Amino acid sequence: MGLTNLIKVIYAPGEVFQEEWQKTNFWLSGIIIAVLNGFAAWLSMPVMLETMKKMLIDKIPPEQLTVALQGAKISGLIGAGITPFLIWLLIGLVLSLYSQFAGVEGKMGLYLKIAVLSWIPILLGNIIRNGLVYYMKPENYLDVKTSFLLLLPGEVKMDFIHIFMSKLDFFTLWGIVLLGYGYGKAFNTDTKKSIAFWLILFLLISIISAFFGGQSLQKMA
Amino acid sequence: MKKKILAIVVIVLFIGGVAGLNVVKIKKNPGVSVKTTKVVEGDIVKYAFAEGTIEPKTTENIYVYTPGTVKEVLVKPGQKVKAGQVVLRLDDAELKNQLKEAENQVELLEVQLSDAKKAEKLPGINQTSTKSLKVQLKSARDRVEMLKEKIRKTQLKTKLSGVVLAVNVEAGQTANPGVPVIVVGDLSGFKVKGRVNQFDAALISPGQKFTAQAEGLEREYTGIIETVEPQAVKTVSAQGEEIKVGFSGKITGDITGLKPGYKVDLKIEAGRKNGVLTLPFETIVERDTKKYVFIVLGDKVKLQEVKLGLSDDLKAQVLSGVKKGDLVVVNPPAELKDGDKVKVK
Repeated sequence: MGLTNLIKVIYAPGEVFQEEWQKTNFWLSGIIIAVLNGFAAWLSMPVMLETMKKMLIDKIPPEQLTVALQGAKISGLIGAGITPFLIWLLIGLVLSLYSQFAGVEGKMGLYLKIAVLSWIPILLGNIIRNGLVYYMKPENYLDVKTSFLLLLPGEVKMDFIHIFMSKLDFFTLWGIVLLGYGYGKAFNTDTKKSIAFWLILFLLISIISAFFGGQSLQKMA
Repeated sequence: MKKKILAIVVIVLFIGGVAGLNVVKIKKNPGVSVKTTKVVEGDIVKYAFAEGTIEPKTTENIYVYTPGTVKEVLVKPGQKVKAGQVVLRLDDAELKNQLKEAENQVELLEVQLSDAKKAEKLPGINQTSTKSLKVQLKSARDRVEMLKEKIRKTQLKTKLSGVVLAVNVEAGQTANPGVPVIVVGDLSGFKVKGRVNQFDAALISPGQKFTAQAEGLEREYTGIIETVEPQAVKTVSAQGEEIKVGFSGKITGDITGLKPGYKVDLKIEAGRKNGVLTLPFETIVERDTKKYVFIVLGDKVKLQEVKLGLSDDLKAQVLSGVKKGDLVVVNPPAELKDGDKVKVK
């Protein structure tokens, strides 16, 4: 069952990826995740729109501000529903590419199922983050963090270390580990090597994006 | 089974930890972190900037009166001259010949007139010839005087004591009226002429002080604006068309090192307010054409409208809205609003 596997992958991923993952219905699981992701986005929407309003109120005319807020609301909800599918497709393609290098044969449908199952921690993170925003109603919705930034003392700065830390989201890391673990289990390859590969890849991407992100933010400042 | 329960416990603890840390951090939030500065008394000096050219205090352009060949140039550029000194001679040989002829003509007419006067006493002699000779004699005498004057004017003299700035002809060349053959300048003082753009033109007026800086000279020179032209002119440069207004001023202090023709950068003191309340521009926010600052009151900010006066590049005079010693936010974040809690860095 798709739904059972979505929950079971949280506490018993080994069983799911070893035995039951092929039973997972990609579309049903995908739609459930997309809906939950949209719900999470809806929870934080008022605070997100309020923060955006404060940032733009002096910069654009009121009519444009109304349009911008309405646009942000609609695109935020639609994006929350559609983005996971695009990311799964991307992960599926990367897994396919990785398999070719590793000499493993697999079908795209299976890669997509691994991508969906390993997305569960990220969905959990989204729900928790947006739930906290909904519950705490902070001045800025970005004040709620689920990354290593949460462990850094002092203020958030736009330098390399802070941007890099913000990329290291606990739930994303969990998802990456699950992706590597799931791939290893599903195709009977070394899970440790697989996890290490995906983690190193993720860290490299995070370092590069933090470096260039920090530079562009400093230029903007 | 135990493994599953352990996994669930770990996950619940992890999620609880993340949520708990967020709750603690957000509740502890001391407010928006801001930098502040105090409203202080200071001087505001508004400057206008222009480029100018150094010119002598007085200049004399020496011209020839009639076209003629230059016989002799008696001065060189840079040479000091005194008022009344002959600086150039034109060839006067032709004029002297004409003078000789004219003088001979006068003598001849005088003799003829004398004879005519004796003859007119005889009966039957017409008096008309005497009158005619008198007219001719006067005309001849006038011509002599005119030629003498022309000869006198072949010697060009300077009316100004100073330095020869330019010699535009050489011996043997033809000099024509309308083009100065020699330029003499009084270098005991300098003036500066320049143009300012339309924006700065609104700021400058006679009596304002300026400092001038010439390329290659270490020191600054001081001066005063004397005139601002009443009409603007359109100039075309690499930057496109510009509207400029001419002005002139005099260098009032030490002029050591300056030379006519030097380009100078002028910094004109277009306005000054001493001992007024000032605010750096980084503290001022504009909303609906009005100017505001965020005043820090305790741990909160108050959005306060301010009226501004004279400003320089960095700060503005405050006419109303704040008082000396008020703490105001520097570079207020875009999301900062009236009544927000802040933490001063």
